[in-house]
Formats: sequence, structure tokens, C-alpha cells
Amino acid sequence: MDCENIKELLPLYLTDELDDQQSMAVQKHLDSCSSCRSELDNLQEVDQLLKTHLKPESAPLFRLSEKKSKKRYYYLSAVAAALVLYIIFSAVQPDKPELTWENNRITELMEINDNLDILDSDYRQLAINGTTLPAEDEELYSIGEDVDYLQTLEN
Amino acid sequence: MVADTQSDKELIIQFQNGNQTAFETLYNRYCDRLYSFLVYQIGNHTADDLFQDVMMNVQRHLLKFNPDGNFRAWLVKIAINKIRDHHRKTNRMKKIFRVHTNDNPEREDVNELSDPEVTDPGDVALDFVNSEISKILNTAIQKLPEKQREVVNLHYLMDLSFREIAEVLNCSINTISARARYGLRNIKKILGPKLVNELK
Repeated sequence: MDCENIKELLPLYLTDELDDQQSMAVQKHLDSCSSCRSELDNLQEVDQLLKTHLKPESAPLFRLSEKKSKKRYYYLSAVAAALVLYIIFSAVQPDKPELTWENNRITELMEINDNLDILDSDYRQLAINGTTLPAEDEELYSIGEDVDYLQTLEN
Repeated sequence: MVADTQSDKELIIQFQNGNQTAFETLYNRYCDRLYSFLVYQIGNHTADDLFQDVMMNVQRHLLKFNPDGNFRAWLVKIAINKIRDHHRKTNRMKKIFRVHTNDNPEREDVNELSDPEVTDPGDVALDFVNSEISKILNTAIQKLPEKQREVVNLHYLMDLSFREIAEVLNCSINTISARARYGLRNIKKILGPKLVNELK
């Protein structure tokens, strides 16, 4: 191997990445060639400088929570898909009454009304029997009367 | 909490089993070096965006990564691919907008082993004589031709052996050794022998 070949191998010689045969050949050449030895010294000098002093810069923050936002994305996609299905389902069943919030509330009020009717009749019976009602039951009784009144208006 | 003494392989296995903290430990181990590599290859502004891209890619694909593989080399490969994509995009934009720059594309050739243009060795060093040594070295590295800079950064920042660099860059080990040799020689030339002696 001539000097140029040896010099090209010097970084690998420095890092001990040559096989035994190559390493011995380089060593043998260095023993007798001042030019290659000088080249090795120069490389070693900068190599040491970089190994000792080269410090990396601080990286900016990486949003490690990226996965969470992906989950949120999937969740939102699922909600959007459900809404689309609901709209399609409603469109193909036009006879089905719309279950709006107001309708739900009316159903709920009607149920309360029915319950009050039952209570009302119970308490009326108690009153007939001469039993004294506790204060809160008195209140329920008066609600029952109001309901009765509302029903007469409806009729 | 995951101890930083664990190997890359152990951390990868833990992450693949659902331990997010293991990824954070891996991230903390390599983030600064990877970021610096990007900064020295393409500059500060673009490096920030590319760094986020690279880390997102790593986080996304680490679940399928073979824990017996070389994580550092894989990380570098992702970063290098991102850098190449970036160069392709900017070159395309330059062509579209017919932007003429002073860049000399010849210097990016595979065969480039030329010396950088240093009119007065030591000037750069004198400019930065009062700043930190690391910054002086960074400045010198950034003045290297791209291929030499790449090898120097991968070896001294990312801690890859020359053999690993040859695999990552798909080059012969002799090519990598030659680039390293010229890179180190040129750093000395850029800094000037006087400053090199002072920094030792």
C-alpha cells in the first residue's frame, strides 16, 4: 500500500475499525513513514478536540403527547360518524317522531303529572278519613289540585 | 420512572409494551445530539420543524422497530431521509422560482473531497476567540462541504462508528474514511494551527 492508501485508512485506524491484517499493515507503514505519521498526528489532534469539546445544542421541546391528540381525533371522528348515521337514519324513517329535547321534557312532565294524580287520589282519601297531612304532603296535595285545574282548562 | 442506565433495546421493548416513559428516556438520551445534527446539516430555522417531523416518525414507527436492530442508526436514517426530502423540496422551489444562489452544486458531488475556500486560515477562529470552544468547533464544522460535514457530525455527535455511517449512507467504508480524513484536516485548516494548539 502506498502513502495515499494508508492515509485514507487512518480514520479507521484511529477508531480501531480495521481488521487485524490492515491494522498491522498500517502500523508497519507508520513505523517507517514520517509523512503518514504527521498526518496521523494531525487527525488525532482534531479528533481529540472534537471528542472533548463538541457539545450538542439543546433540542426544542417535542410534543410527546401527540398520541393523545390522535386519540382525541379518533374520538371526534367516531362522534361525527355517529351523527352522520343518525341523520341518515332519521331521513329514511320520516314517520318516526323526532326525539327533540322538548319532546323528552314533555314526556317527563306527563309522567310527573300521572304520578301526582295517583298521589292526589291517595291524599284525598286520607283527607276524607280525617288524617292530618304533614306540611310537605300538604304541598303535594296543592300541586295535585293545580294539576286538576290545568286538566279542566285542557278539556 | 425509567432508569437512564437501561440499554436502547430494553427501553424499546418497554415502550412496545406500553410504557410511554421509556420513550421519554430514549428521547432525552438522543434529542440534543439529533437536533444538533439537523442544525449543523441544514441550519437553525428548518432544523426545528424537521426535528419535530423526525421525532413524530420515530414515535409512530418505534412500535414496529426490531429491538435487536441499531436504534441510533435507524434514528439517523430517518433524519437523513428528512434532510434529503427537504433538499429536494427546496431545490424544486428554486427551480420554479428561478432563484439563483451562490451555492455551488459541484461541491455536493459524491467525489467532493476538495478543501473549503479558506482565504486566511485562522480568521474564523479569531472572530470567535472569546466564545465557547464548542461554538468555535461548531462554526468550523458548518463550514465543511456537506458530505464531510455529514460524516463528522454522525461520528462525533451521533456517536456512530465509520462502519455504521457507511451502512446508513449506503457507501463503502473507504469513502466514509476518506471523507472523515478530509473533514478533520479541513477543520484544522479552518481553525488555524494556532487556535488548535490553544484549544487542546
